[in-house]
Amino acid sequence: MSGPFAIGGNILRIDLTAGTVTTEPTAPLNARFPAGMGVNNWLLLNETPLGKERLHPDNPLIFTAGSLVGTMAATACRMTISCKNVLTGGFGAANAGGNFAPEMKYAGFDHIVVTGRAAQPVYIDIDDGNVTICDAGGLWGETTWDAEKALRARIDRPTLELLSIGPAGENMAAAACIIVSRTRSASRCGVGAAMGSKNLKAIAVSGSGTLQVAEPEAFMAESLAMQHHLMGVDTTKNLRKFGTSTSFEAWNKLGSIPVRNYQATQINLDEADAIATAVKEKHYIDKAFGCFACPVMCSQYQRVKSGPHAGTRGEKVESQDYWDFGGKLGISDPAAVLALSELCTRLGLDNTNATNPIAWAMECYQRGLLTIEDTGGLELEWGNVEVISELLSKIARREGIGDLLADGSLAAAKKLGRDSEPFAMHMKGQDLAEEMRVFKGWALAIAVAERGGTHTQGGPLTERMPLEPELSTERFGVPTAFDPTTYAHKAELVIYYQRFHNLLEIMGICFYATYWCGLQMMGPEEAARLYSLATGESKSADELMAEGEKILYLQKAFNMRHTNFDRAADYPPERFMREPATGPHAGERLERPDWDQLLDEYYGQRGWDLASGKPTAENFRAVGLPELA
Amino acid sequence: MGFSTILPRHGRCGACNLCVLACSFHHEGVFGRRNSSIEILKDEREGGVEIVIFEGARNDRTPCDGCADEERPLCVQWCPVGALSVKRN
Repeated sequence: MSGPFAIGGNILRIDLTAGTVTTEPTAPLNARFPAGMGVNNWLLLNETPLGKERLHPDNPLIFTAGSLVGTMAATACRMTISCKNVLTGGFGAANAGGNFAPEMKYAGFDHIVVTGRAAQPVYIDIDDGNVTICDAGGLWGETTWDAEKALRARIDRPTLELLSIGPAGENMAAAACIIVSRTRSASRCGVGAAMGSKNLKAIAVSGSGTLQVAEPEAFMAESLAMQHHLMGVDTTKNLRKFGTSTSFEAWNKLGSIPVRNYQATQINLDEADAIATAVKEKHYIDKAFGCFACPVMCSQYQRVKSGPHAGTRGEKVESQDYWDFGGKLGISDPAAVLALSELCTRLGLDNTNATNPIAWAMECYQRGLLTIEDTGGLELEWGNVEVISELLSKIARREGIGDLLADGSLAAAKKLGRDSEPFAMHMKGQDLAEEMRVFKGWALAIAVAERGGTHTQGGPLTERMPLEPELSTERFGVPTAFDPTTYAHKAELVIYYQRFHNLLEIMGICFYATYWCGLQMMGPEEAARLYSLATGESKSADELMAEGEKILYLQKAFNMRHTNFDRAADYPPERFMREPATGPHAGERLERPDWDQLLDEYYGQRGWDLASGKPTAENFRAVGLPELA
Repeated sequence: MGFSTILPRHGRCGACNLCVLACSFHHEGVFGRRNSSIEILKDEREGGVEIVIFEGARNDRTPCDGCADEERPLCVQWCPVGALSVKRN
């Protein structure tokens, strides 16, 4: 067989202003940049015009399937969706599982680059190489579920996969996400708003093609061995049994939950008990589902059978949903969390970017900075499910106070004034999901993340794992990977995980099958073997980690080009330095001198300029990106 | 080894499609959905799954041959939840 292997083969370009569709081969860019997310990030960097507003029609919105997606590599199903970040103005990307990305590749496409703005609402229909821009008039205003249902009735083809936006995306709320396969969400950075700004309601894809790998028999043997290995690991068994939600209780016990807009870090254990018990005793779980090619199956289908939220049902409620609704907003009824998560999915709202501005508003209300006159008669009381439900709908439709909240907590605070900005919990303008006071590596990763406030670009979960110093050194080259509150060597640990996360994004492998959440799971060596057998490019783990590093530089270059982010943008919110944690680490907070030193170490490890926090021209050349020097 | 019939247990299926890909690999040594003898139909709203196995001659699908040349049918080998079993004919 001859290559290239494991790729769909083409980049699909759709200009919605001109109504044109073109294609070009993927291979030349794969030869220059890391595949998958690497090429995606290069396209975003190279093709986003300078000086245009965040939702300008000329800005590209890029959908990318990982390089192993569509093969049988365990969990290789992920897609990256990138755009100019609607909340930060800098690099933006979201990631989702489901079935859409493999279907893109079977249709022959590794990337879909959408530019322009359609004159009227449209959807894109991809039937192998036949790509049509279709009128979406009847779908505009519909929820993601109703839009998808209508499209399935309209398009009668096998293996049809869909992604769509809801009212939130149509109204360009910064908290808008893109819903994939009805149950998966590409959240953060306002990707749904970017799609709405193009008047693009949905993309449908189906493909009759196939993918070949370079060494089929060896690849199959390696993949099956990996699958069997993963299924024997306790982390996998727990994920399949409970999803990710059990970590809510564990993290609450550690005092690492954002409570009432980060005013505390631990929910009263009695209050948290209803959620913890419902999760542990599986009150709502019917069964576990997997994304495409995933033997882990962390996606729980849940159903509420009685009470005020009876009838709520669906997949993929995560521990983060409990942080967002249970922690930040003070809801103690797990059924209500499921119901509000379902509402967000239908409205096309990113739970985190929607709940954080609500948490800000509730704290402002608590402190008398917002009054009932400002809220249109809503009492913004912590834990009030009806009010929160109404606020979510108002954000999605930009109605009343929802319009104030729809652009994120920082924008809302700037608009409101009244000294409300200290309560806007964000990094670089993007709302936070995470509590940052206790776990220092975790905090560093979130603070320096190029997309703005995320633990999925380098956040080390090892700080919550039992790990001997010797094993910590063997795996990560540092003796403190397990030590939550020390700053020592956390810069190196975060850099390790930044590279590793990007390595996984190159391939489209899910973090939940890997080292990230369990040290018995897939590490860089195993991932490199799968990559080499599938693509025919023999790459070592170190070489792929270096490719991951290169991706970080592409993202950094985007931020250097489009924002004024400097060292100051890598400091966490003042609250985390001023107000201590509660719970077992009571008193713990981020200290400015320690943070100063941590940033010096983080930049210093890479040889970046300490004053600005930026790479030098020599740094870009050294990682193999001379064109950006 | 003779022809085998694949028996689906729809309620166990987690819709990961690994069987679909294993089948595709069995037929052509590649990965795809349309050249597979299996299709997974999932109702995301209600949490239901149907495993469709194409057995007879159809214009658009390769029929299941029971993996006659394999020790065990590949779909059965790869299913991570025991939703497929084999009956030797």
